[in-house]
Amino acid sequence: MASRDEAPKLSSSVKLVLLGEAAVGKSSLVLRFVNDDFQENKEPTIGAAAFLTQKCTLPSRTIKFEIWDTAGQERFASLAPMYYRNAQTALVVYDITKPTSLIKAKHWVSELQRQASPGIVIALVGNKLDLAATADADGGDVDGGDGGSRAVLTAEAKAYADEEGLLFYETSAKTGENVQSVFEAIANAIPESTLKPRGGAGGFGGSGRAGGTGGGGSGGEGVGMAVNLEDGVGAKEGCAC
Amino acid sequence: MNDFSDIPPLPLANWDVLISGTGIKQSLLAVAFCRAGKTVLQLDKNSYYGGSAAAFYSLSEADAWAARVNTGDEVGVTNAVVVSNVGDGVGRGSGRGYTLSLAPHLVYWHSSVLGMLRRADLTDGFSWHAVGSWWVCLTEEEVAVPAMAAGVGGRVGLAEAGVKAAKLVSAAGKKRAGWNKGRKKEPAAEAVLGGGEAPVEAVTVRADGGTTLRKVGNFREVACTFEDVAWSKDLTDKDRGQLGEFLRFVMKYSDPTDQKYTQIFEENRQTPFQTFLSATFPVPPFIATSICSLALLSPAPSEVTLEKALPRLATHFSSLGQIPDVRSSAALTIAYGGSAELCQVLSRAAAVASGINVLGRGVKSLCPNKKSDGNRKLEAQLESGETIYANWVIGEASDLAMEVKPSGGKSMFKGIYVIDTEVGWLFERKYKDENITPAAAVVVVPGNGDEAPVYVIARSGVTGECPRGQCLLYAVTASSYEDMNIAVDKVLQTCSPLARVLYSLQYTVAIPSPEIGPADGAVVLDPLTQDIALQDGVLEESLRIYEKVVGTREGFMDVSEEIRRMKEEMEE
Repeated sequence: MASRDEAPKLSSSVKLVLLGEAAVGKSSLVLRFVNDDFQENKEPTIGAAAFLTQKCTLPSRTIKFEIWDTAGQERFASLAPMYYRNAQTALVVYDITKPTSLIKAKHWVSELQRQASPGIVIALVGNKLDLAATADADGGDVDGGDGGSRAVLTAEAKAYADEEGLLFYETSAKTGENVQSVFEAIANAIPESTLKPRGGAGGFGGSGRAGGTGGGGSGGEGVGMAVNLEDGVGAKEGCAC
Repeated sequence: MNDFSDIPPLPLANWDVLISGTGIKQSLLAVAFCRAGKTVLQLDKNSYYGGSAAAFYSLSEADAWAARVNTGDEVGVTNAVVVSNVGDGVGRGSGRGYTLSLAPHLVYWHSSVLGMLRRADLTDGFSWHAVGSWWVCLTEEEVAVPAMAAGVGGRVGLAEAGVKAAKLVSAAGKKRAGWNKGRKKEPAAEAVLGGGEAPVEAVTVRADGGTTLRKVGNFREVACTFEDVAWSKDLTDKDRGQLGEFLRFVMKYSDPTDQKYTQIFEENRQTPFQTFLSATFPVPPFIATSICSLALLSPAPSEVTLEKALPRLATHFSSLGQIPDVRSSAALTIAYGGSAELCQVLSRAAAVASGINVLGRGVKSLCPNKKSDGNRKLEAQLESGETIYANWVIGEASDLAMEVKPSGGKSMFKGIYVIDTEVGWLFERKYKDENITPAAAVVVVPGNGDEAPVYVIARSGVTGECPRGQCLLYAVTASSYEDMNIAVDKVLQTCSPLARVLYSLQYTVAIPSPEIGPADGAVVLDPLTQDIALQDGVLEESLRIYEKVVGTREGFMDVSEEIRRMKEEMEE
């Protein structure tokens, strides 16, 4: 898994947070992206890993996503401010068969605009694209209810995304359709200025952009500030780059 | 905060443990029980995490809290006073810009809480910052004493004894203490300056190898590192000897193999600390005041006994020099609000370990479960109208619909001040060879006799809690709002031109009397103490409750093998 080819151009860690109504397929999307795997009838997310990581290698840069799952906290209005904090990107997911999930997604978008870092890249993702396809093929044997057919028009969601300046994709975690594309689009969209080189140990590596901005009292931003509590991580960190 | 209208019903009615409240202990316990395989529901009546350790993310959120205090809706807190000199716009109503915390705790390197967080694999969820020097505001006379003494040259007799004693402490405490870890390094050749508004006399090496303590106005740095004790020209050689001997005592007083010091301690447990110090290890008053300030105790000096001060000094000195890359520091603090952030990270950790947390839903009443088929001991009615059954219900009295006893009368006065300049001198590196810049500092305006001291904890913009170019001052005192304002003014007077207070929030916390747990299965937590540093008692109480519920303290907060494996795979 750790492919150690020639050192890539720009390599950076990025915090990505997942948001969206319960059962729209947030975790499934991530599992498809990270493990290329899909579980039918997955249990609601509790007992997740704290976060998953996955690299995304583009011609111009390599982005390592640190993907934060809600751990089910979205269900009872209990996501804490620390969840959004310093997130460089967010994946706001809705279910194309469930219009209320898009309404919820819009809530999350405005929440992010209020609470998250100003430069955050937000991707709006309509999941369960596979259900739209089967419903078409079946010729409407399920009508109404929350059965199996598309209930949110692509154009409608796209128009909203354009208006708010969001990336927009429709995906299927089940078939894998467009999943890779979403993450690649995000990796491309993150402004270079918010990318920080990986490897926080010490305070030496980060000098790349510490140059001009020191200004006031205390040296470059982020350099020599936080205390590293993970003794001996340095070596490990080194080979992961 | 996530104020969406359609809140779904809870997934289960039956739980092993119901925790009401999201404060530090509640959240620690939630993680511990989840990791031990219990089913855990954690509720909070507020729509935000932390309870009495919460943070506010804008000045208007702080205003709203102050209003609730003054309508009596925040149990144990009274008399909130807000003074705002902020015009419309700046920070007002915006979701970010400020993080004002009710619990901006310092965390000593050697505190049991930090040790536990490290074992529990939880420290990487935070950004940790170093707490720099302690600064004590001295009177003209106190400042004058060492100045006169500084002329005394030569290191003879007691001087050698002092250095020797200090070295002995270092040898004895190498593993445990190591407070002078950096001793082989040269003291900084010159101070790291820049950005400070006031002229700082930073640590400088003199021709004879001595150094001086930094001072700014009437504020003088507390001698703390080996270099300070061994070489500072602010100390006479006699002081060095006494101080070295005292530090040895601090390290040894609880060591049963050391008869001499344990006996001195036993005989003087109830003696006021400063009286003891001047009688047993006579040092000049400014040193006694300085050392006493390290204990961060709120009462007046006459009420601070040796047995209260010594454990805290031991924690301080055993932590000093241990923190990688910042040997003059003894404590850390968590960015974005101290323990307020801790509560949120812990609640997430509980959710990750299968717990359910729910905000905005409190417990309305609690009684034994009388249903004949009920296999859970307690029944809780929630504000939302739902009924929950649990074997254990844990929370502070105010979160369990119990009557809260009026306190014994003692109160702590607290204040949060937003300052329009950086007060840069507080956050400078003490030594040039340190790689970390402190983001917090402690300023003490000492009490005198029966007057209580005022502690001011300064936090820089590096903590993410205020815009760059500003800083936050958190004042704590058992004295009064007025003394608190005077202390803050003293800090601001060191800035030129005079810095301004943009916003301040003062409030009074009643020091609570411990509660006794009532119904079988209900565990009433002690309210969080008002200490400046996060106390080991927080962990001790949590462990006690864990043992009561699980039957053992073993495995508290342990990460399951499965999760650990997953994490390792991820790190590859």
